[in-house]
Amino acid sequence: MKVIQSHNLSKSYGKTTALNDLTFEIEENTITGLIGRNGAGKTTLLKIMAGHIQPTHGELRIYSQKPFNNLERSAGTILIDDSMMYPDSFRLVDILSEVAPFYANWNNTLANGLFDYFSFNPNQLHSNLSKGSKSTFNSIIGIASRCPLTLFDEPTTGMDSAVRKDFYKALLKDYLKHPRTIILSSHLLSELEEILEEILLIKQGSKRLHLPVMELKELAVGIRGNAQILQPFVEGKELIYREEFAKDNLYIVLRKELLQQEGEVMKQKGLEVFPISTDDLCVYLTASNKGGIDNVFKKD
Amino acid sequence: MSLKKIDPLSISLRLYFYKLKGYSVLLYGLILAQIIALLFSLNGISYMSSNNGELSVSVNTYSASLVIVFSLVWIFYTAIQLTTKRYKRIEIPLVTNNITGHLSDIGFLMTACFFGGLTSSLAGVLLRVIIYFTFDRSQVIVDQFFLPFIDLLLGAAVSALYMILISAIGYLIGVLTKVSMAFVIVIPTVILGLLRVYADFVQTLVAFFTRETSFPLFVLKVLITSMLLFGFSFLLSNRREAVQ
Repeated sequence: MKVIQSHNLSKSYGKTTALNDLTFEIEENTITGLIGRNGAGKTTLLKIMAGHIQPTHGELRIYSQKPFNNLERSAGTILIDDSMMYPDSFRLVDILSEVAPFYANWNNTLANGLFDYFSFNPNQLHSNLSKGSKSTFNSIIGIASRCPLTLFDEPTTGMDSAVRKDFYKALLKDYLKHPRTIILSSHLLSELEEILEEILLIKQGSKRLHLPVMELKELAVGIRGNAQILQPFVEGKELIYREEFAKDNLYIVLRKELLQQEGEVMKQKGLEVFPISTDDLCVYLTASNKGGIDNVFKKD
Repeated sequence: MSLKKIDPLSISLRLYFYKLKGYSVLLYGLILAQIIALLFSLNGISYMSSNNGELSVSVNTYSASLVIVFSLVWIFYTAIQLTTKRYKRIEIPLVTNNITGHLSDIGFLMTACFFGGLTSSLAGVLLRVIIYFTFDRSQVIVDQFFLPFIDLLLGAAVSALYMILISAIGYLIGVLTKVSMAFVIVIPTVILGLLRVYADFVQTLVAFFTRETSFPLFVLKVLITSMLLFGFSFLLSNRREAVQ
C-alpha cells in the first residue's frame, strides 16, 4: 500500500523554489532515506509531509489525505527536527510524560529505557541540552511515539559516532518489532545505508532517483586509468561523473549497464574498474556541474 | 491503514492541560505585576489637602485599581505572546491543527483571566489589611472599607471579564502581525489616529463597556465581543502556515 503519494509537488518561498515538480510514492512500512545536498529541499518536503506547511502547486497525500491543518494526520505523524521546542517549565522527565498522552502508540517503557541508556539527567531543561543531546532526546520521542509515519530531519546532527550507531540500532530494532513508515533525511549516507531500504535522492528540489538501496549499490562503476586508452570506451556514453585528476589520467563514473562486456577488456588494457559506494554516487549525482571543486582551482 | 476518528475537542483539552502546566511561568509575570502595582498603591492614588488658616485637611485616597490596570497590561502582553512563533513551535511536537491550537490558547487565556481577576480583587483586600494594620485606625474613613463578600466576587468577575476582553484584543493583534508585519505600524497608527480624529467615537466605544450598570448585560457584551474577536483571529490564521 502506498502511504505517501506526491504528485507534481512544488513549493516556493517568495522567489526561491524549494521543491520543483516532485512526483514519487512511498510504500507502507519501509525505511526511506531522503538524501540531498544542503538546500536541496529535504526539510521543506518533510514539513509538507508533517502538515506544517502547504505546497504551492501539486499535491501530496498521506493515507490519501492532505496533511496540512489535518488533525487526524497530525495524530499519525511525528516530525523530529532540531527546531522542536518545549515549555521552559518542563524538565526532561516532564516532557516525556506530557507528550505521551498525545500519541496513541506511545511506549513508556521504551522511552524511559532509552532515556536511562543515554544517561540523561531527568531534572535538566531541554533548552540547556547540548546540540547532540538535544538530537538524541528528540530521537527518543520519535522512536517511542511509534507513529505510523515517523519523519526524522537530520536526526543525528551533533551526535557523536557512538550515539549515532546506537540510535540507528534502536530505530531498526523497534522498527522490526513495530513496523511503520520511516523517512530519514541525512547526508551521512554511508552510515545510514545499512538500515535503509529505499533511497529518494533529490537535487535542487527535483527528484534525481528513487531506488531500493540494493539497486543503487549496483547502479554504477568507476573506471580509472590512462585517458588515451579510456576515452574510446566511453565515447558517446552518458557519464555520471568525470574528473581528470592528473595529466593524462582520467576518472569516470557511469551506469553499469552501459558497460556490458567491455569491463573485462578494460581490465586487460590496464584500466582500473571498481564499484562506487552509494555515498560517492549520491555526491556525483547531485553535483551541480561536472568536474567538481577542482574546476575552481584550474582557473588560476 | 486509517486511524480512528480523532476528536478535536478532546485533543484541545489535552493541549489545554499541556499549556496550563507548561506556561505556568507566564503566571509569575502576573504575580510580579500585581505586587509592583500593590507597592505603588500603598502610597495612595490621589492626595488632596485644603487649608483655611486654622484647620487643615488632607485626604489620601487608596485604591487597588492600579492592580487591575497592571493585570490588564499583563494579559494583553500574554495574549500577544501566545501567537508568536516561539509559542506556536511548542505545539509542533504534539498532535495539533489550527483549531485545536487556538481553542487551547483561548482556554489558557480564560484561565489566566479568571486567576488574574480573582487575585486582583483579592489584592484590594490585601491593601485594606495593610492599611488597617499600618495606619492610625482613627484616620481611616470607614466608607467602602469593609468589603462585602458579594462585592468581592463581583469585583473579581468584572476584572476577569475586562481581562478577557483585553486578551481577545491582544490575541487578534498578535494574529494580525503574523499575517503581515505592516500591522505592527498600522495598528498603533490607527489607534492614535482614532483617538485624535474620532475622539467621540472612541469614547462611546469605551463607554459601551465601562458605563454599563447592569451586570448580566455587561457579561453579555464582553463575552459576545470577545467571541467575535477570537473568531476573527481564527478565521485569519486558519489557512496560514503557523511556523515555516
